[in-house]
Amino acid sequence: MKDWSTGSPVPVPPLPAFGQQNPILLIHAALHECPDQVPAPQVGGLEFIKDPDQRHDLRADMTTVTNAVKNAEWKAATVIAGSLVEALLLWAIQEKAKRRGTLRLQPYGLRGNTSRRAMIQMSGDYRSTSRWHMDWGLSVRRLSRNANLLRVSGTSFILESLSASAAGVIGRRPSRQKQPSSTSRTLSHQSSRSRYVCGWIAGQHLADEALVAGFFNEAVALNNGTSPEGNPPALR
Amino acid sequence: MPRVLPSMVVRYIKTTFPDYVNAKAQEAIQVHQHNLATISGLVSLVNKIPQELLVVDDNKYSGITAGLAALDAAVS
Repeated sequence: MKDWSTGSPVPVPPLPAFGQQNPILLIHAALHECPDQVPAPQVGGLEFIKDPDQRHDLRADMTTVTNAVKNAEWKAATVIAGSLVEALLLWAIQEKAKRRGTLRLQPYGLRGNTSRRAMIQMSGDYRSTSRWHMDWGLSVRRLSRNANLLRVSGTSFILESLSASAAGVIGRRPSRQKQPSSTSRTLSHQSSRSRYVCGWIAGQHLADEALVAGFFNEAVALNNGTSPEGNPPALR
Repeated sequence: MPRVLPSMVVRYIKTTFPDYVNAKAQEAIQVHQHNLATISGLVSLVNKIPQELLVVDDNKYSGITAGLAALDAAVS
């Protein structure tokens, strides 16, 4: 142990092996390049997303969800998982639109407190409501069937929250009054807190109860390792 | 306790040791009684950064390790 009371300073010289830089500069230079967030190794790779920046951002969000679930931060996990699946849905439909060239998509930005929600503007033959629902429904269903890609923690919570939130987005119609539905309430009171949270969120955005119920059932079936029902959820 | 992030430590260094990352980059660090705590704090903060966030090449990782060892030896 040094005696600091004598007042003589202790010099820490620059390190010759590192270009005569002092230790503080070395630490600063290295840490300046380090990220504050990295995807956890157990998070799915999302290799189907070609844009590396977008893939990295989504994987970082998945890591955040994983950590939130571990810490029992249910609200944060649900909200971020919901935004994650919305981003994936938007990506999927944009990719589809690139191939077809008939669908015009426009992220709608801030809307109340749902900052990451995306609204879709349709054109041409997609203006039909039924076609709109069909297209969204099929996309969500495909993502839901591939839910193992999103299985970041092995808990039912993630799948249920993803499905609930996705269904909320799909079923949302701006003109409908947003009230928790009976279906949502029933689902939300089944057992766990996660289901309650998901049900509540679904209820906030719910316009199509059958769709939500279908996705809940499918998510639970996927999570239980059983085959999801063969029939798609009811689409209006 | 908040998670210690690399950007947090970078800000700490810029705030606490502005000279040593600019003008005095190649000068010896003088550890006095009055800056002992801040240097010890830096060592402690760097040690609390999660390993998975230290995404740097071999040379820079070695630099962090050597720099920490030098500071630790001076203050302990």
